[in-house]
Amino acid sequence: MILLVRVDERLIHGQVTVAWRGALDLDAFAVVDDELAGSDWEKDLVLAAAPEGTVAEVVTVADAARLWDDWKADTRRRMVLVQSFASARSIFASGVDLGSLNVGGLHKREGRKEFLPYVWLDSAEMETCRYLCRSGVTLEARNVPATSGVNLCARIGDS
Amino acid sequence: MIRAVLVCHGELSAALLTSAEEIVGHIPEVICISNRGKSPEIVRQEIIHAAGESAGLSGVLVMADLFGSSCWRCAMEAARVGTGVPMAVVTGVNLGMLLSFSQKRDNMDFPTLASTMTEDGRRGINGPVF
Repeated sequence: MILLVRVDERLIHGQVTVAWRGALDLDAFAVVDDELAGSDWEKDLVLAAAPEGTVAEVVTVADAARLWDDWKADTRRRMVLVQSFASARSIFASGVDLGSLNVGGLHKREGRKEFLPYVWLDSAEMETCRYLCRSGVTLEARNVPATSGVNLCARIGDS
Repeated sequence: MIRAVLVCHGELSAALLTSAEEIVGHIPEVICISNRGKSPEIVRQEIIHAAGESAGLSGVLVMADLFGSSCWRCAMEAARVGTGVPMAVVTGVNLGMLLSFSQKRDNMDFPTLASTMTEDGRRGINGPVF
C-alpha cells in the first residue's frame, strides 16, 4: 500500500525515517527520480539512508507509473518520495492518480520565496503547484506528523 | 595545510568547534556548515566553496555527523564534483576526531591523517560499562 506520497528534496532522511516511519509504521520507501535512477552511484547514496528493516528502491517515473498499482496492492507500508514538484507532475502526467501530496521540505535557495519555514518555491515550482491544484491534487504541507497540515494550494493562490 | 569542513545538523558543527577550541585553543582552517533550513543544493555549494583551492592547501577533510543523512550525501556529492584539492569524507564526527585532526594535521600527509583521525574518533566510543 502507499501511505504517503511526499515531496522532499532531502528524500530519505531523519524526518522520514524516524518521525513518519514511526507514525505510519512504514517499512518501504520508493524514490522516484529519473536522474537518480540513472546513476548507480547516486542511487547508492540515496539508498544508504534507508534504515535497517525497510526496503528501498530508486526508480524512474516510467517505472513508478508501471509499478504504482502493485505498490498500492502489496502489503508493504510504503512512502513514495520525489525531490521536486516537477517529478510529481511527471508521475501525474503518466496517468497516476496522486490524490494527495504531502509537501515535506523545499528549502531556501536563490530565487525561491518563503511560504512556510520549510517550503520555499520559485516561480516555476509555484506554477507546477497551481497546475496540480487545478488538476484536483491536494497539496498538504506538513514536514513532520506532529505538526498540523497546511493547505498549500490555498497558501499559494491563483495569482 | 589540511583544512577541515564540518557539515552537521543544527548547531553541531559550530558547537563541536568551540568545544574543541576550549580544550586545545584556536584551531585554524576549520569551516562549519549547518544544513538547517537550506536546500541540499546550497549545502553542496557551501561545501564546494569551503573546499576550494587556496594557497598551501594540500587536502580537505569533510566531516559529516550522520552516515546516510543529507549532510553526508551533500558531502559525497561535493567530493565527487571536486575542487582540484584532494578531499575525503568521513561520518560520525565527534570531539575525539576533531581533536585528533587538530593535533596531528601538521605531522601527517593527507591520507594518513584522514585514516588516523577516523580511527581516533572510533576509538573514543567505549562501553557500555554497567
